[in-house]
Amino acid sequence: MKKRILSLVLAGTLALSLFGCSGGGGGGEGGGGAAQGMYPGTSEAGSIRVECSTMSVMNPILMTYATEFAVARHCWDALVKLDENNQVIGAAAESWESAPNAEGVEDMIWTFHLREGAKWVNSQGEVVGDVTANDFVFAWSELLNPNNAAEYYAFATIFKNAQAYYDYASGVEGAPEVTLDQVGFYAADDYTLVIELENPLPYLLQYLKFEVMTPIYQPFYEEVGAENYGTSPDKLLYNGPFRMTEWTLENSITTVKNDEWYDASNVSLKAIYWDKYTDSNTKLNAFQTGEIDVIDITGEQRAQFEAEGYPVNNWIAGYSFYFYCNNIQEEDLANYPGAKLSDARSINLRKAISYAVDRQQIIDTVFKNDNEPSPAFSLGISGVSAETFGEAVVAANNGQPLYNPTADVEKAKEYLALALEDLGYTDASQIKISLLTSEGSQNELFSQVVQEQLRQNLGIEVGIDVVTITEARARRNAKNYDLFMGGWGPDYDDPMSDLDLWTSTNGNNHTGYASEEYDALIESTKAESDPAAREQLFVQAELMLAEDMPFIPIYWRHEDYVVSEKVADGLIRLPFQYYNLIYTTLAQ
Amino acid sequence: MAHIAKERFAHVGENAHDREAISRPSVTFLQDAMRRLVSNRVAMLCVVIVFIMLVFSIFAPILSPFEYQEQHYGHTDAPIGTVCNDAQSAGNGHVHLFGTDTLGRDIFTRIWMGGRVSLIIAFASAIVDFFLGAIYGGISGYFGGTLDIILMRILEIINGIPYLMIVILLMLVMPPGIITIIVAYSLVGWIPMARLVRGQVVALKQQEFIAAAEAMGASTGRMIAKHLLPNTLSVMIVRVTLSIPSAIFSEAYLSYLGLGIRPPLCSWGSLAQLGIQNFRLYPSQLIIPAVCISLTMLAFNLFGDGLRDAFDPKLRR
Amino acid sequence: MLRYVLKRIAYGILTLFVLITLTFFMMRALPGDPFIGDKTPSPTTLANMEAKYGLDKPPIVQYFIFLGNCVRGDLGVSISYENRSVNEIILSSFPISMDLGARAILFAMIAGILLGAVAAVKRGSITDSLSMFIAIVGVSVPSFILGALLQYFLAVKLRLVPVQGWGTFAQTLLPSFALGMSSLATISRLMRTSMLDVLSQDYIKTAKAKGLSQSMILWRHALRNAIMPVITIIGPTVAAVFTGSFVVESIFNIPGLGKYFVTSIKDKDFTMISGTTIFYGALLILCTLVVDLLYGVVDPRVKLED
Repeated sequence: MKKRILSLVLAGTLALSLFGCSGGGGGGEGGGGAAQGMYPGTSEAGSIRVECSTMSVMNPILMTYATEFAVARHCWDALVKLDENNQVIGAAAESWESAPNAEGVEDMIWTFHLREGAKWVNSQGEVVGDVTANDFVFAWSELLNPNNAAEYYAFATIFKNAQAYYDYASGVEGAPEVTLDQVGFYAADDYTLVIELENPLPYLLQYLKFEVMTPIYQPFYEEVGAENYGTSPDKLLYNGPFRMTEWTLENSITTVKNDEWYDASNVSLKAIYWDKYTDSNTKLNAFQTGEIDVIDITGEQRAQFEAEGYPVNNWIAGYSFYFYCNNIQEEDLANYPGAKLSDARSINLRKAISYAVDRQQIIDTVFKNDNEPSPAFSLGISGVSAETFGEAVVAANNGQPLYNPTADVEKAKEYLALALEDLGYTDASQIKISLLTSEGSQNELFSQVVQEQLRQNLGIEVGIDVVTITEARARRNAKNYDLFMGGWGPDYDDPMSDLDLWTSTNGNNHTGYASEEYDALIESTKAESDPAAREQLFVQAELMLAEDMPFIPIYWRHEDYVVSEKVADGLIRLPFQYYNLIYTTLAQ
Repeated sequence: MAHIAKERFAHVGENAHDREAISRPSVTFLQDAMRRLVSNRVAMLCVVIVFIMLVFSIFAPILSPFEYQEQHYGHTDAPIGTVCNDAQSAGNGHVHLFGTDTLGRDIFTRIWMGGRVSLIIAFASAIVDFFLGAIYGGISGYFGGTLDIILMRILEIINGIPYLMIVILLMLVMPPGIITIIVAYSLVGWIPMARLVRGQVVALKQQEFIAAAEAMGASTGRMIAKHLLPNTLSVMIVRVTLSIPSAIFSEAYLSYLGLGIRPPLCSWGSLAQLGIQNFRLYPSQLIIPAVCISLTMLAFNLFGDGLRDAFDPKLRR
Repeated sequence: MLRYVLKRIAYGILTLFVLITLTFFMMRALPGDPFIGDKTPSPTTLANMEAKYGLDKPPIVQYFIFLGNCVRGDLGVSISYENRSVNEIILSSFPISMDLGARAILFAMIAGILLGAVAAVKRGSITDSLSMFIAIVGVSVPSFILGALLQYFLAVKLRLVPVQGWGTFAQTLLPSFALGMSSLATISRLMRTSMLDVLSQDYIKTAKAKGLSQSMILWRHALRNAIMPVITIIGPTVAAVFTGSFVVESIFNIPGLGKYFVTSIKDKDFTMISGTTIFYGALLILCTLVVDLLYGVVDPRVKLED
């Protein structure tokens, strides 16, 4: 349950919400284009308009979409934040130090010294109160309050006793009584926050930078009421570089500069408008006529800009896309009410499909951009024996990618023959597989390409079920599907962030894959202290996944976007930072 | 002033045969209507257009060297008239007459496959409308009395509900597909037809010739078959012709909302919806399905107008 | 008159009741639990929902609870937008849709009547051809294609109006036009036929014979009578405009209720869909009623006693 973020992301338009891993190379920094006067951008001085899709919830502890977090990053300061190189720097906290706990385990108790004089402002920009350590304590206890059903409550379970408290508070049977006082965070004084961890966590600061971990001003929260907090700009308080002034649901959010912010003198933008578009043509038209400054673009649109000679920016969204496969076997059915017994339960069929799909062709046809065919599952993580972990995996596989970039029809057919035996069929036409597809033209095109490839290469007639993202997820969670396209990006720079996903107990493992061997292998990495040996264990895990193939990796995501000539510098889009516009400067 | 001799005028006597003869050839109502329809050039042009659409939709997908879902990765977004020379069909000189779409599928084949789907939806809905409406309206109008009142009240209530809302709700509930669209559309589409038929039947019942037929002891069956039906049919045909474009329109609308038919099947609506994504770069991908939709809708509309004129007794000469 | 009005109101209410019933049972027929999407609702929300919809009770009881809520004007709580009531969303977005719709209808009526009338008076002239052309485009081009093309050519190529958005007058032009187009076509065609019909009537000849001026004849006698049939189709026009607004609002990025309706369809937000459907239904029923009554007032030949 540690990494919900990414599974929540694959939405109707693929451009919707992208989160990513660190590492994995460059990422993009969008400066303005060559001064050709082609797309001068919006006319309002001092402000920019950027595209941002889903913005349904603005209560930080209830947010789920990367796009919502992008807005939140500009409105609230957590203890720490990421800079333009994705390095952790102080935000609400100025400095911090760590100490061993009572048992002598290093780095278990952390003390954060908050910035004094930081203020809470309302949507009008009026100062309401001071930001103190108690605001963090309060926010985190609300995150752990089962009544709020925060999707990301798990982020707060890194603290000592937090999970036990959550279980007790949600009335889990047999859970021992734990009070909030026993949970591992408290305010030593107004500006000193002390944290005690449940387990060693090398990536603590990466956790603390998350927008769900931002503070909440208790008196105000209680005044508006938990159910009203965050339903409109005036029902929120802000401690970040910007404050929200207007919010038209499904349409636009306006954030203006918060003059009370500690570093406000270095913020040159007066306002940021976050606009949602439902029609990608309209979006492109709006960019060209100067009604928006930053938009994500499709492969076709990229070709158009390139033909015009206008610079196209690219960032590695740090994202693996793959097919979830329904692994549920006949004997498991009883454990999963509502689950479907799918033909995809045959390993050989999954392998046949993996060999029959032409990953490069999918990218060239559907996306027409720099997406790469997945050589392995975990790609962007820094490696020990090689620059990235992905390269280490490929090296361990004699330099060959674990998953073929182009179709290998012969191998596919070999596996198909085995699959027919597994399933007790005599002919490929008996195989009934359908591709659960969430709406959105790119998703639908994607499914159609796969459908056609499997038809040509294997002779399987694959159905396509186009459903809403909501229904798709519900069916995926219930394991009532054959194949479903999903995405995942790691939350921190360690293979664990990716590979933990496929353990039988992981809440985001929606495939029904449960291998004791794999679980044991992942468990063993926790005890291994030698980095190289630990990496080898993860490499083994990757190889095991390729052998069992509970899911089929397809591609590794890159994202194209264009920026109007109005923007001079400092527009940051990186893994983990969907947008960082705090220090963006404008031309003129 | 010259006198004309009285003798020169003589009574020729009456000719019983000539007296009753009809000097003009006898023209039935239908013949008359057909004559007027045929002389209406616009309507005839529309018939030709519809005929062409039908013929192509039936035969083009069969005769085309490409299948509608076949993807040519070497030729994605190909312009009109590209010769297909990728690995699948190199050397056999097949041409993508209308180019290919973003997945390299032959647009010519897809347009006519889409035409099939759109026209099947349109015709099937029209037929359901026709029969449901005729039966419901006919019963209500013919029997009259309490039954009529009840049936008409029910109809009025259903008619008050905005039809696209109902279609959308139904599309949400039922599994996606051609049948669903037809059912959803027909479920509300028959109402105008029923009203029309009922009104027509009620009006006819007051006419003298019906009274005469009744007086002469015509059976119910004969009344319906010989008197009511033929006199209502013309209005119904006009109505059906005009309901076809509205079904095509609804299908396109549903496709835009993402509630239309499911891939890999395509319809004109879904092709236009796909084409609109790329029309800045590849305008033909939008223009071709759009022209097909518009032309067909127009043809049915104008043909319906022509039919109405042809059937209009006021215009009968 | 009063009896007729009451009768029509009774029918309106009955229709609305049927719509509510239909909506409820259709939503119950949706696959899966309509109240639980992929987000886990919080226990508080769940408890509220249970109290509100009686989820633990048998469907028939739930139905009456639902009906009761509708009667009180409470359309429920949205599932996708945390802690927001459907009423609140309708209240904030419908004024925009109404504004857009009113503009579109006004545009369609005025332009349609004028175009149709002029086309009839000057048969065979350029105006006549123009009206025919507009009618052809209006009936044969689906609004999503028309909207996209208008946007590209008028806003991107010619830079005459903004591409999208809602607020300034210039922003309202394209969407109103795209939305009103098909109604404009219907109205102008109807107006032309009706005007031709009126112009061939004896009283027009009488007026001419009496030596009335051409403009007097047209304004005082012809137009007023020819407009009657147009009024009868205001009801269907309103319906067409509101359902058309789903598409137009999406294309022009207008934060109206139509856009929410489309989004809620895509998200399968049960309460939003049913709430919006009932709201639209009630609105259209009301519009039809008003138009019918209006018709009786305007045209003395229509007997309201039915």
